Amino acid sequence: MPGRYTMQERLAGWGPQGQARLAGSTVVVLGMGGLGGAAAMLLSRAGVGRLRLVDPDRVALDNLHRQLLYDEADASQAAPKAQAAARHLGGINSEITLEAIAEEFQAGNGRELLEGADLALDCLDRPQPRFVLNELCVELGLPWVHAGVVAAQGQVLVLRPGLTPCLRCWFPEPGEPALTSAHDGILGPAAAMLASLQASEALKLLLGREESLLAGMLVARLWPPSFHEVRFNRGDQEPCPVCGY
Amino acid sequence: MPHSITITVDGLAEEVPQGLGLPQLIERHQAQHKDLIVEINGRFVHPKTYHEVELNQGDRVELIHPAFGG
Repeated sequence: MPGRYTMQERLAGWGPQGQARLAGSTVVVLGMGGLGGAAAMLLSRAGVGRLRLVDPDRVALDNLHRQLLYDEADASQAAPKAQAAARHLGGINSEITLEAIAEEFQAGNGRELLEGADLALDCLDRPQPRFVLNELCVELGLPWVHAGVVAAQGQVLVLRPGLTPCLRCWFPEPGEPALTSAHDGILGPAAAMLASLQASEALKLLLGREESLLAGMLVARLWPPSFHEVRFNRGDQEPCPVCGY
Repeated sequence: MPHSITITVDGLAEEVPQGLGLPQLIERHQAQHKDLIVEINGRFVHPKTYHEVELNQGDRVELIHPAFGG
């Protein structure tokens, strides 16, 4: 009789060994909204052994069109997202360990939140803490996968300190974003798409399948559809002040 | 009357004056944001070099505003 992971263990280069790697892995998911909820659901179903779910917010009715993990009961109780997510994910896979942390990721607690992680997923909802995460990951040598979504578009980026450009390489002078969900909205399928792309890169990293990783920034738009990968090029510019790349 | 060239911006053909610089193109598209990502012919253009870039006939330009929502 097929087991829980049989169908993914059949994937080329996966097998029981790959599954054991996932079971022994810890992933920190920062932000449990449209991206984080869907990405965490995919990783829990895949059997990642420990997920640390970090979000200070509570579920609201206007989350439900895109935040796949939550339901009307969560919204009516204004349930803390981290705890509600852990409860739903525990019902999907009781073999994994789920840690719910209802805190905002910031410089003061970032190191503690990332402790013991093999990988972080950036599912945050604004630019500033993403650059805090960037600096911490460079310092810790921790790989992470960035994703962002607004309206019907977004981007995914795999960041491996010492091997790839960091977030500051791509955005040398971070400022206020041109697009915001408060102004431009978010398409539910776009959030789910970006989360799937992010989870896929996370699985490759955990499985040690670096040859299959995104090499640049994948920019994806659903409405109208467009997908392309931008390759970084520093030219003759000075090395990055954060990562030295 | 200056000569014009045809380039593609975000997938759409656009006629622009010959010798147009990248900063002027960004301005024409009202895309002057610090987080803008510019790609020309499949290559990332570093923000500190925008002023050095002049557009050529047939260039394929993407002006990408990253999405930082979650």
